[in-house]
Amino acid sequence: MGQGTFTIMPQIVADGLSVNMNRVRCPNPDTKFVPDSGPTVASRTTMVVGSTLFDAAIKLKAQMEAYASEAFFGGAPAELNEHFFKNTYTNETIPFERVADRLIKEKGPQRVYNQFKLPPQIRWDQRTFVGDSYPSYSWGCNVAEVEVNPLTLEIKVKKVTSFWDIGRVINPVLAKGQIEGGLTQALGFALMEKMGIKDGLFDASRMQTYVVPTALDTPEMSIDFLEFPFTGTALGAKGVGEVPIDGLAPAIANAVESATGVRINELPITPEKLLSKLGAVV
Amino acid sequence: MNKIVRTWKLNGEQRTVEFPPMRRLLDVLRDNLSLKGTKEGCSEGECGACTVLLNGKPVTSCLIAAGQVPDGAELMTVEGLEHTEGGRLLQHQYIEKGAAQCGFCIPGMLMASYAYLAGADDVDLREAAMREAHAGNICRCTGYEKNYGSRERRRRTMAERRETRKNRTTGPR
Repeated sequence: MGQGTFTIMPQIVADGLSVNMNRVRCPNPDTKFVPDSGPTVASRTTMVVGSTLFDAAIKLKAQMEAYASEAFFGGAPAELNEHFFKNTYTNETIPFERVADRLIKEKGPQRVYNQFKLPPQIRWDQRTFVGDSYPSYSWGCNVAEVEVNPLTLEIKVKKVTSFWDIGRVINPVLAKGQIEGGLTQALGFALMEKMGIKDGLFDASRMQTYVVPTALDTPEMSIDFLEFPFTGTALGAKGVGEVPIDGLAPAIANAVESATGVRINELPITPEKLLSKLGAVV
Repeated sequence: MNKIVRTWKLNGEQRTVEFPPMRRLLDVLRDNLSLKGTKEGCSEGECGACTVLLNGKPVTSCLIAAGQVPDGAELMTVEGLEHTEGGRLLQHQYIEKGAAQCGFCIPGMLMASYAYLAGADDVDLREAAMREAHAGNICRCTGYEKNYGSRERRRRTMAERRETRKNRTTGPR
């Protein structure tokens, strides 16, 4: 829910097919029709499902081009480009709809099957647990600027600057939103969100007691992408799901150490923890 | 429990509804009036997902006994936005910015935006004030930046606000 799958999968398929995105529909996944491709984990959907669909779309495009070539261009190569199939020898064009209508009438709905394959350089031995357990990684770099109130020891994050390599960025708006959201959660994780156990019960089991960042707590954020497409798939995308939450808390801890001279090794970094450490220093 | 009858101006229309007086406004809206746009998040007034406008002011409908809302009160839910020019502009801006990810907070967030922008003549459009106006609405997936964080957004908000005021159907008396 909310990962952007229903936006980016049609984008990827439209790109692979060279058709307009509004020609692509993305039904709810159903294992009645397709094999179970595994869970939504490890930020893998874009890389694994996206690549599978991208390669499938390329196969489907080739299938349709082969039909257009044979049925309309007397065997001359056909190229699908948005609205037309083009005869690459004569530059003659036939509208997509005409080719598609006739193809469906003559041969019925076209289907292609494609399965994700790990790139050959990735090796993993499930028996000995040796090798590359993940084919690729996303990377991020976070810079946190913080102010610590010397009287109350309250910590305020003023600005976060971050750069991300998530491979090829499929949808910059959604990817940036995921990072803003991840950084906001990471900020809560670093400074505010505290869940303890008292007499066998969670002491922060409700939103009144488990305090998460609001719009007033989030700092200015500067977010940029450095795209190094993953070479193991044609699509080149990696994942953006989890990586945004990983780096900011350590960056804030480093910034707090730089400001106060003490290092807090346990999250959240609260004024109470700073006070006890600073007390020990003084 | 005995039921009571109330007639409200809901999203610009007269609506009469019968309910047990202690039923939460949230439940009367969702279950008696079938307006499912308003969402229940925390059920304790912290998250803002259930925000609706009561006489132009944003309220958390999970904390209000519907019997407390008198006859003739003006209510606006997220379904009412599309009937106003300003509401439609807000919706478009949220879409254009990609402000919704899972979308659960968005009905409440939109109502907070609408209430603030349509609320008074001298709306403070500086970033801090805009943030404060939305501080009662918690978003956990796409953060808050896309709703009102950017400078560009604030510039656009000026124009949007003028439209909202011109066309509002509900507001403080």
